[in-house]
Amino acid sequence: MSKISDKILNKIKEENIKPTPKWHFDLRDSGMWLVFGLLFALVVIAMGLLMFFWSDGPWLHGRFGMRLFGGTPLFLIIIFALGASLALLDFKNIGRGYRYSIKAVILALIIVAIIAGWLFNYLGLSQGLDRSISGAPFYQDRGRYMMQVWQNPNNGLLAGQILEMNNRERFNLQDFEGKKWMIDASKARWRHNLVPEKGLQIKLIGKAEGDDFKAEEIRPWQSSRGCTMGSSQEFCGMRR
Amino acid sequence: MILEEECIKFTDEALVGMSLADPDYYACLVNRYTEALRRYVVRLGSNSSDADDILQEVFLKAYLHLNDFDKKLKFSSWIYRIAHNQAISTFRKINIRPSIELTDLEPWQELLLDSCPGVQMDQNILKEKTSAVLDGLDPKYREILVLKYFEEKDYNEMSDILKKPMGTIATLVNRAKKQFLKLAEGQKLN
Repeated sequence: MSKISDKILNKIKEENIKPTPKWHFDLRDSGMWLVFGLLFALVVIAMGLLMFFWSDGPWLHGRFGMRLFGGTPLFLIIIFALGASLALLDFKNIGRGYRYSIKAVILALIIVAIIAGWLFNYLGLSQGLDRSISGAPFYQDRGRYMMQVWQNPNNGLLAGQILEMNNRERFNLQDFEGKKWMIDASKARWRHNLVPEKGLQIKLIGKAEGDDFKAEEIRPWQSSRGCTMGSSQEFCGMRR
Repeated sequence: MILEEECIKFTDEALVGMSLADPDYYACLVNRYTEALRRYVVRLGSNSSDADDILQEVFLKAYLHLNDFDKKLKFSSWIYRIAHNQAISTFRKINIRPSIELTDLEPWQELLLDSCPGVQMDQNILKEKTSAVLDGLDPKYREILVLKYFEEKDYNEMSDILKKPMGTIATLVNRAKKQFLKLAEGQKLN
């Protein structure tokens, strides 16, 4: 027997050293999986809320892309990035997680988060959560976000309520800040089978010229999924 | 006490289970890995006297964590991982840059001569140049070369020992070889 094995065995016997029980390691592993699950749930919720925010934005108009992202609550982006980073770190330390490359794990995390986030949003859970945390500090709800994105006539985006509807091609609109506009809709496309009428809330893409707005596209203000499922006007962004 | 003849009947993994019931069987595992792990920690940069202290810590830690041994791994990968972590932790604790003992230079000289085939050199000069190459070698590259060329571990085992993805291991091996060659060229072996 080598000297080392003698020493080790003597120490084990003299000091009555016992291997740490298996339940201790099982508990540690379960705890790490639990932390991973919670972090991933946080990532999915953040992604679901981001999708809820970005849905029905002026996506086709590339020049508005920065505004669309720029108005997104930093809070959600931080939660998403921090949650994903910690989940990644945790996963790499669970079992044989170290065998997977960081790039592959990040890609898988993002893909699964997008799918689960989409489902979260599709089931209307983003809408409910947005409503319940709308008063929380650091959180700007979707209504205010939509206002921020669409109340930008200088950038070709406008939202408001139809005041007078003499004909489909030319009508008066009051934006959500109270300013009155003459809308030229002669070349506008009315989306979502919209029936123009007095009192209708709409959002427009086009070009502002003084108090006139030349519309290229008109959409219902409440066309998003979050606003077509029976929610109140306040919830849909009418709160000022 | 378990006799050596008894020990050889069992695999490492079986001995792990038996050690949990009877610590005497743990001596079989200690005896089986003492020399290999001593060489390994010396090649990582420990001196011979520190190596025994490191080994005692390694075997005690391994005993305490026997229930944490993942049967999907080879026991050798698991014990090498503990040895690697213990060696690195000891180097940090005593705050020294690992250095290779001259007694363990031979395998490195072989690698050096393999890198520069056809070179004939006086033993003393070769020893001096090998030391210079090793001194310049980044510790992370040294440990990867040790595992690949001296411990003859495959990428799977290296991945389990260093807890890195196999792609990263392959990259590290390539970079280590490049740095080794660069340093060898700097020593004008050609």
